[in-house]
Amino acid sequence: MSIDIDAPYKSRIREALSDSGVRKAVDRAMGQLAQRRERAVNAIDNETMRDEAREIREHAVRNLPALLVELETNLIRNGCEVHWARTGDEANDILKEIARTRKVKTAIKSKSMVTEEIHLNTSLEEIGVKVVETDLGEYIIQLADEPPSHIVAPVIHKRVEDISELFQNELGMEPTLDPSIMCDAARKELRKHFLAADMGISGCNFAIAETGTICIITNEGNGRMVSSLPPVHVVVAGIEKIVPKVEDAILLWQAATRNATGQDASVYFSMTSGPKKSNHADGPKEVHVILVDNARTNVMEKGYADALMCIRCGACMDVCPVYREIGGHAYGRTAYPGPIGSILTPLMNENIDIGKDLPFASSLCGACKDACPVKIDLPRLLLELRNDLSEEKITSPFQRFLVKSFAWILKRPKRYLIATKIAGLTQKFSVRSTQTFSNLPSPFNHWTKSRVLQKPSSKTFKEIWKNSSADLPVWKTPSPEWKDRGFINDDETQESNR
Amino acid sequence: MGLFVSCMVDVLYPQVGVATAKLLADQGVDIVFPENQTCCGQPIFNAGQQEESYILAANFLEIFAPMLERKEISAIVIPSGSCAAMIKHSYSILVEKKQSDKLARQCKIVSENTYELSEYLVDVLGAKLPQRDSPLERLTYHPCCHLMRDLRVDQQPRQLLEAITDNKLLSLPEAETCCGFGGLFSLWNEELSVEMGLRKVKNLKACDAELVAVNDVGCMTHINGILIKQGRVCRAVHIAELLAESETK
Amino acid sequence: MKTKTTMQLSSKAARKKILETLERTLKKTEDPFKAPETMGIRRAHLTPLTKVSGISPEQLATLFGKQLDSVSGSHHIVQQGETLAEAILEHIARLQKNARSPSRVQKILSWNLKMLNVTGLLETLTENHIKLVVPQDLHDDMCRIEASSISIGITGVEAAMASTATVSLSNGPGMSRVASLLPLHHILLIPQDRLYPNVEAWFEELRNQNRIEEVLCDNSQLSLVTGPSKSADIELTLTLGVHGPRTVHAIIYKNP
Repeated sequence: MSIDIDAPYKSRIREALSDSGVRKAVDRAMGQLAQRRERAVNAIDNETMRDEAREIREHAVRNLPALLVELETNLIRNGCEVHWARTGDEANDILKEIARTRKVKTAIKSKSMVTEEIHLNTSLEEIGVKVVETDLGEYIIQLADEPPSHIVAPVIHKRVEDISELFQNELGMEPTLDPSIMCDAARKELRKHFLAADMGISGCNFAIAETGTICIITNEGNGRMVSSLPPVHVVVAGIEKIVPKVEDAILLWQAATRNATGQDASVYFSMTSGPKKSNHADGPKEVHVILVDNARTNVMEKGYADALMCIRCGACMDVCPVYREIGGHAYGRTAYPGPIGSILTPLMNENIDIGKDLPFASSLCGACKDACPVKIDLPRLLLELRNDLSEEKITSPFQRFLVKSFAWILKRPKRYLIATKIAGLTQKFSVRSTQTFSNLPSPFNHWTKSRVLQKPSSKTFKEIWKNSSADLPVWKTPSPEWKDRGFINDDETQESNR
Repeated sequence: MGLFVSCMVDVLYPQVGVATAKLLADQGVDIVFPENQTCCGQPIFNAGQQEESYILAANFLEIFAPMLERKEISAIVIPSGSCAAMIKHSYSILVEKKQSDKLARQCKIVSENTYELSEYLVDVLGAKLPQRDSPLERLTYHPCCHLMRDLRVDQQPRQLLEAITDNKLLSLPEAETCCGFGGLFSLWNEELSVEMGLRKVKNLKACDAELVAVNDVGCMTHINGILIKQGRVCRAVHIAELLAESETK
Repeated sequence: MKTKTTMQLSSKAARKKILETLERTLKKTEDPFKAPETMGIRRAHLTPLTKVSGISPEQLATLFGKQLDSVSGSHHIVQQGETLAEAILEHIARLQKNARSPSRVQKILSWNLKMLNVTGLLETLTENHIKLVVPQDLHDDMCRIEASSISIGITGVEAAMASTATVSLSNGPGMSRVASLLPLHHILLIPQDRLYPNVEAWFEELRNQNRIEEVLCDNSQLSLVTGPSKSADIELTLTLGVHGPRTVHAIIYKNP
């Protein structure tokens, strides 16, 4: 892993931008995912789907208490054991207790973001349980001992060469760059664990309140295996994953798969309602569902309930121009990167230092808002977070002062006029007669390191309007000689002046 | 019609304001330019200091709403995509928090009657601009994110640009990807901002554009900032200037 | 170390706190949403994502087959004069031919014969040295070992949805999950009268017949399966058969 994800924000960004290997991988992957997504959503009436998906999720979040109770009632009726956990620690304690009492030695896991949030693997390993990730991407990063970099494709930051080397070292695989041979090696290895594990742990994509059903989306089939083969199945579900009706789950399932991977339907959609019956050949003998809060109620209390509608499809990060440049690890030690991560991380993490820079790591272009299948107004949430962080004085005092000073000048026309007159003098006192500055002192050097900065005009528009005197550079499309020159070769130009 | 040029145009690019005024005057529009205008408040709002930006919004509303209410002007026109979006789209956020009937009323009438320049030319005036002597070549178009996504204005500038290029407007690869300016984002996150700008510049090169029309001087400052620093020949030009040039005989 | 009772108490306390906090927040006059849109109002009837209308069972079969092929599956529609048992045998023979180490007695992991409902299947298979293995209890080690060594599985379906080539597989007595999950190759038997235009249509029928709870809950797990198992985790390159079946072959037939 090239980026130190525990380093301060600025150094993470710097490291991410200078790692050309990861940048290439992320760029390629995001380009493909965005393309696949676009094809899949353009093939349907996407606007109607988004409207309906939004209705379902907003309704669910606004009726969370009643729906949770309905879900619990039906899960219990179906034969599940339901547990509630306010914090990640509580959830881990419940899991440890179940593992201890059932004498679990190995647990297999399908992909679950909430289990990343609560660091479940570490917690179980503390009591000597071997936890094996079964989603191929998660398995790879588990072997590599790295955090995931994307919520749908956790290992897009790795090249096939890196993964091959990993498999050669850890699985004794023959050297190859053929993904199908590599997958075979993983299949063989993980099949052993699937068949021998004492406990299966899964997340939950949707929890259907009306029937007490836990829905899991996978393409590999590990979701089915985790929820069918071991004698004990534990579901870890964030409390916001609820939907009222079966039809809701069917719609959101397809919305998620189209947006996440560009598929019309994921290969597997497992709908588990309870343990096996006595005359069934297979299935878990016990099903536990742990309903986890872990700061979700805080998110709602702080007035950001919108973020709880997220169905974890990853569309926002696939279209984000910032994510495309820096990849997921640059967002730091968090389960959620990208636009939704820039909202959830500062809201949910106890340590505000981890997330406080993320709401500002955006140009607010709005691509994420247009992509989100449940129509979360992500830019709006980022703006409000910026405001909250400012008001709570968590942002840099210097930045706040600078912005306040700008505002002070702009508030009164007279002050503004004086300031612009002063600015106009730069033309008079400039050494060079060009229209731009190439090098400025701090803090404006932040701009001029890699860009020139337009000089203030000697006459503002207001002055011109008053005096109607024009002495301005008027645009003229250049003459033919200039046209012949075209772009300078890349060899002659430095891409960056660092 | 009331003209709001934006603080960046006033101070850095008055020629854009002049071109805008010329374009509108040539269409027979009476221009009212309230001289005590300053800034719409967007950079301050986006920096996360809403209380500060609220005062600027209130100033703007106090200048323009009464004129609309008294029917002295029928519209506000702005040669800036992001300012138009701020006023039409985001002022209501600030105003809602104040719970003032007066502000709500002012905000409503202002946002319903504010237009970005190309939007006004096409949708309201149905403007037919005079033909150029020769069509512009190797021109492409970079859409300002806020104009395109918050206001859904995209077809209008393209229509005007197709007209002056004899329908040979170049297609910019990844046109809808943000250039990386983002207001103060370009300072607080300058490395990231520049990388995004470099991608935009790379795409400009890929389509062999010599000129890129923009409707926001923020994008323009940032993109030209990189182009000039790199010694490239391509330039970003404001759409008002390109259209006004067409009218020069 | 927490005792069971402590765990239950802690869970109960957490439940109380969570529900109380949610209820309190939602009751406030200040909206917990920054950008509310629907205020919780929602339509009752949802629009199917993939629209297929008024086509005949034969056309549904063709559509299903085409869609399944497009997601790396394969299909066969039983023709006049061909029996279902023959079609099944033919596919098994094809799989054996391609197998790296063809075994003398081919075992097939299967649903109970009654659930498969194929006339003459047992005879046809026995004649060709093929043995159907219907697992009884996967928590029994011997059963597990046998089941996991079998490379071909065969099941019926609860329903088959043409627009996405999705099948719904119920599990229940005589209908093991593993038959469609463990083996490398999965054979799906789809009677034409179980074909639906899309997933939404099947659920609509279940809703109208008041059978949703029965189908979802009575049999513990309902799986919607669309083609063979896939992964794209390695540089977004598509690979099949991680971890479920690598091939899915649907045989669509007319019930007598």
